[in-house]
Amino acid sequence: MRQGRRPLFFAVTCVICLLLVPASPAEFRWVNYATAALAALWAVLLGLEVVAGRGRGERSAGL
Amino acid sequence: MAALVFVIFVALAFDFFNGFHDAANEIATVVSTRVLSPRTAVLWAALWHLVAIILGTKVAATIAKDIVVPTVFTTGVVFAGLAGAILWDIITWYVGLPTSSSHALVGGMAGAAVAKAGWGSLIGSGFQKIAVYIVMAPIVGLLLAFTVMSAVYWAVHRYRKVERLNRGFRRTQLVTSAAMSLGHGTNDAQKTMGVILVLLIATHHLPVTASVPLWVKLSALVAISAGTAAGGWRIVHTMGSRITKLQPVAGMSAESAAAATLFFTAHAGIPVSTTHTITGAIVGVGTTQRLSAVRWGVARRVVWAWILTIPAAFAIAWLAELVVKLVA
Repeated sequence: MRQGRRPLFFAVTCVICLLLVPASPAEFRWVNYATAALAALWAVLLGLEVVAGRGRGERSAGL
Repeated sequence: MAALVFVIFVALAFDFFNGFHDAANEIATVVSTRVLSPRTAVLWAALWHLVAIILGTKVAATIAKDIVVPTVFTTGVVFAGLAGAILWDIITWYVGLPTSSSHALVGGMAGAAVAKAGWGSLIGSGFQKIAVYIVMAPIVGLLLAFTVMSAVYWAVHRYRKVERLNRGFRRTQLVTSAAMSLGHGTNDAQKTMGVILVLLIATHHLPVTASVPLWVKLSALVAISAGTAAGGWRIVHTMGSRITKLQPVAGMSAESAAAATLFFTAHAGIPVSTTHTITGAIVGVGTTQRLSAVRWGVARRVVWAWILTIPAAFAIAWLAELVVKLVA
């Protein structure tokens, strides 16, 4: 997956979690909300990274 | 009585196959990162499955009471359900697809129950819970793994002694792989416990309100441990190296995320697939890399196997129940 597609990937993941809320048992709906929030956070952060043009060469070598 | 003993034996055989087919998934990361040799990894995983006896039995209760109306169960229905799950497991093992034994069991039990007593024998809310977590379990694993991996990268990205770091992560992976095995034992062995429990209730050896007897817990955990020790190398290959290439830090991140997901779902009494969860986590760590680290073609093939599992096991078990009816 290219760097530029990752924000979209996490945004779609967020939407899937929210779409599943009505089907989830009431006592576990917080899991959907928490997961959606985490996915949205990554979508925003990765989107900012792409916009800032810092998407390449960030990782430490060898890990 | 002979039929009861035979079906309990079949249930334990399913558990053994589950270990053989499913449990290999959790050792894929330690093998592909070369933290442990395949043989040692299998023995390490088998040992930690046994420790799962100290954890709860909520998943067993869900299998026994929340999927099919308990009064529908007979020895024949349970046998047909197990036959559907085992046959589907064997087919997918033969073609090297890491499918879910858990969902094969759910599909099998549902198919046998519908053949016996119609669609009204299924409990919608129980199915709904399982269906939601077919999707949610890998997503939770993916997001946790991505988060752990990103946090580790952020914490150590200026550290230049890469060899020392990798050595540290290799040691940590021993702990996270043990947690993964514990999670698998807690989740998957309980499904067999649930099957045996429902069988004992259906044959009036236990009251409807009974919990899982100790001998059932022990026999299920020993069977899944033995299955794990027996191997499942095709699946190890698919999970560990074909979806994405793993480094020790990635293995640790994937396993810790998957183990956390499995502990949560076991505590909540939701039967999920270890395969789904670890696959989601491996995809999560792959997604942190710059280029196309995740081999989406393999991941897509796995998703197709997930989609097919419940309907296929349902159909096989449905036919098996018809055969059982004819023979009986």
